[in-house]
Amino acid sequence: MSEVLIKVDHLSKKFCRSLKRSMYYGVTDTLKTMAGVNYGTDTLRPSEFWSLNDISFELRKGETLGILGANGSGKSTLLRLLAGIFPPDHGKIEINGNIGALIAVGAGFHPHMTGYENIYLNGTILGLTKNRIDEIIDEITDFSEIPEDALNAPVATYSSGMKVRLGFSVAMHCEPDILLVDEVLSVGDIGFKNKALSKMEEYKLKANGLVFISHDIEQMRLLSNRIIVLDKGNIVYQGDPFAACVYYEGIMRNNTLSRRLLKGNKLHQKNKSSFSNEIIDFLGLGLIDDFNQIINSIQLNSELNIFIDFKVNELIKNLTIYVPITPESNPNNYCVDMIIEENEGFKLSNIEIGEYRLNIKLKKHNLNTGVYQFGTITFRNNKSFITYNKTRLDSVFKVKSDYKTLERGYVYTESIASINKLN
Amino acid sequence: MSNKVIYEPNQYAKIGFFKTMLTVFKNAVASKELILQLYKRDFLMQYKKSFLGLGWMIFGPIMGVVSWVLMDSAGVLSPGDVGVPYPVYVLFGTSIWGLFMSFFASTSQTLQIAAGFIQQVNFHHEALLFKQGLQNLTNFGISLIINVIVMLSFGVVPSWYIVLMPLLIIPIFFLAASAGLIISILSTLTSDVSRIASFFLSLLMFITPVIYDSSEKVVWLQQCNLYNPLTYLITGPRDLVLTGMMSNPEYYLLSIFMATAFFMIALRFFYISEKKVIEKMI
Repeated sequence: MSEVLIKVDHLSKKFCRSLKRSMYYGVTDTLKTMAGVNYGTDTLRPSEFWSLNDISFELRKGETLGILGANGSGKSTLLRLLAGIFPPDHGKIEINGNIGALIAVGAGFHPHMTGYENIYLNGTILGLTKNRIDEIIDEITDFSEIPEDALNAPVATYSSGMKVRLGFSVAMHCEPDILLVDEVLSVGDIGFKNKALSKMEEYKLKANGLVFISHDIEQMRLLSNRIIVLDKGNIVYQGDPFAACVYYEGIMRNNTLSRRLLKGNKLHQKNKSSFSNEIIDFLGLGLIDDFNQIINSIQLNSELNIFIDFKVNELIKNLTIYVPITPESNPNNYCVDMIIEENEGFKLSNIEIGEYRLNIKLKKHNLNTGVYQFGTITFRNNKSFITYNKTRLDSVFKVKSDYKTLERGYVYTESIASINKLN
Repeated sequence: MSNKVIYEPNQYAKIGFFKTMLTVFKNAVASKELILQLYKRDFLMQYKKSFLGLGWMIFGPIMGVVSWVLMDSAGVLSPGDVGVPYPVYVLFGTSIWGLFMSFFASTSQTLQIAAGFIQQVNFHHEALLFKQGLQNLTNFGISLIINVIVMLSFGVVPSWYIVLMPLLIIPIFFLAASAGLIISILSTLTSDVSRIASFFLSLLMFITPVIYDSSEKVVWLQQCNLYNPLTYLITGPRDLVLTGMMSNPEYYLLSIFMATAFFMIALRFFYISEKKVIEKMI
């Protein structure tokens, strides 16, 4: 077993939601500390919450630890605690080696100082000595790709991308034993981003420890040896990067979309957009299971049963119904577009006045794990080009993850691969 | 690996009182380059976007002299007999007073000046305190030179005690910084504190005999002057330099002692609370 660089033991950190209470607690706590009164920090007072709750993990030499979690799950707080910026409220952190945190780039930059002056300022804040900066200044400026004349001009004249590149270049050349990186790889243009990533890879090879946060799951999976998934301050998963990413995607989808789930009834929904000439009223749609119960999620391998309710107000000679399904993240891009029209054995003409339910069964839906919604449902007469009704609902259904597969794209395939040597 | 660090709840409070002083001193020495860089950033950069630039370091105090000379010649002030030409007396007094005020004002912003990066980077925050001090010393050094020029032009030759000036201002720094450090911590928590403090400090100038001589004033004001340590810390050095004598050396020593003790307590307060309040800098 290699050397332990970071050991986090039952670490907890609390914050206060209320500004007034936070002031009150702050003042009383500091006065108590000064008076030498020993007050406990491990219970919650009104308005307080655990930003991190009983976290334990280790980082060993040469390891890269990724931290995944939704916004507000405690990732940045954890990094600040590791960097020693915030004190813990419970538990203990042990750090072996010097630690460098890349939480925000360009710390302390002064807009009137030149690029060069700011490199010295920022580098010193990050803990470099002047001699060391003298040694590496060329590397820093080369890496930042900022031209010489700009480096002699005040930073205020820089574009935001240039500022970030300069700050990032300084931070990347500090070379601490342990580097903490918070979501800063998303900076700069594609070229610079790739360069930053390969610099991170370099760190890994030098057998330093690396802890980093990113929302880019792909990046995370490629860089990390191990991933911690945080949810509301708790570690909910710790281990293999691949499994962690699958797990994270699973909880992300469950968290964010529960309130928009398809209820199976149009009347309870707000229309996103609709058109109707009152010949057909669209009543609603939904998914049902084998027992005719309305559901809002299906399995990867199950059947997809859709029902569409509508009301016909006058005799309709001919009807075609368009039922598109779109990814929730990209609602203008149909991944399925079903056209339901009359065919052999299925009559959709001369429909009399009344209410109807159309059932559509997809034996195999082939939708990948993810969140989907119906596109604009259109009722029209394709022979006389009359549109009766076009309605779009803003609600979604899920294709549940089986927590085993992590496939990209909207189409779920079961493939059998084999490899044969060619002579 | 070279160094091992442990973070625990309330760990700074567990360090002994005198060890705190030692740690603060060590940290400040360790961050001397940082102090220098921040000094450059905050001190030199304030003159950068200005035509006169560093010239303001000299013009500022000169403008002060002009206003006192004008007020004195117009007779709007009744300072009493102060023994030396009034402009010299008041300029030197207010320079020292100004040093106290700027020490206070800048140390009460100790944490605040780093608001942009204090939550992003871990560094020795003592550096901020010493950087603020250094910045004020530069200003005072320049105004001291102007003071000497004014003294000579009014025919007053400063006593040899003027070479002790760097030592004489240390207790002033202690007293100002102790109030400032406490305010800096508390004002990150609540803004009430800095408002109240600035009100009291503006009162303080009236109960310190800076622009007048105490002996001819009403009794309650004399009483205030008597119990105010600033009276001794400011008028002591002033009288030493202007006249070569000090009226109450025993009170002066007592005030130095008080200021030093107060400073140590405030430094301790700052040291054990600063990490706790940084998370509340929102």
